[in-house]
Amino acid sequence: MLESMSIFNGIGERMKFLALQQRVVSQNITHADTPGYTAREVKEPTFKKTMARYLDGGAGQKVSVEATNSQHMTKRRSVGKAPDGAESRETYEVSPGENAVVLEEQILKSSEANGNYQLMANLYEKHIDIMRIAMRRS
Amino acid sequence: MDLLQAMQVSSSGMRVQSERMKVISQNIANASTAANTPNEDPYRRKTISFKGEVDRASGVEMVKVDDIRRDQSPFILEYKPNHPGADDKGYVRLPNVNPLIETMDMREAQRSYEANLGAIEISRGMVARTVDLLRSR
Repeated sequence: MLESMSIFNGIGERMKFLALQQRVVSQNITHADTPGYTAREVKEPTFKKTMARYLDGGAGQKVSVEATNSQHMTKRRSVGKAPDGAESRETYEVSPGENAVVLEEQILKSSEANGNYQLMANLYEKHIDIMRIAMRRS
Repeated sequence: MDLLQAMQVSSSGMRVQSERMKVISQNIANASTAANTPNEDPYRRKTISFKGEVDRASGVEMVKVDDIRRDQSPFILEYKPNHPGADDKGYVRLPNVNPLIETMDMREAQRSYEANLGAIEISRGMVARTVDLLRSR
């Protein structure tokens, strides 16, 4: 049931993106002294593209996780679509940049990603709490 | 998964900067190691270089030590006629180590090390916060 609620999936997707951002930034920081290395960056997905996956019963969705057993929970249920097992992260490109690594910029990006991640985790918790309250009342 | 890879990448960076510190320390410690006979060479400065290494499965690029080589620039000559390593003109060859350069290199290694350490802290914090979602209230 939780998978069909777009808000949880939206937050989850955002957190996955931020984790990827943190990974790319960590890699850039590590390679600050490596000769010939150019800083990589992750392109921000638009909110519209992300939500398109979950609105209209997943009409905009292109990939899903393959389930080998009907009892296994997949990350998202795609009704009436054959799962193809591709990794959903393909929608985020990691592109090489043109400049060498500027350490201060990377540290700033890392702090931003961290702050947003904590915010998303807090929001997630908040929504679970609201669900819990709603279930208690009924 | 990404966050764990982030920590792996940062730790490979820290490892490499420690190796760099090892080389710098050797250079500083041996900055005055002259030869004891005129035919031997004194200590020759070491240099270290890094290279990236892409992990095929994840697409993440770790960093590794490429090579530790010797700096081929000429030795420093100093006039010390009583030194056992002095040649017939009284000059001793000293290592081609410039302590100022080594100190600056050391500062840079430290800065990179601390930046990587900071990145690990942040990644760890993000993972901890996620695990915290499971905490019952």
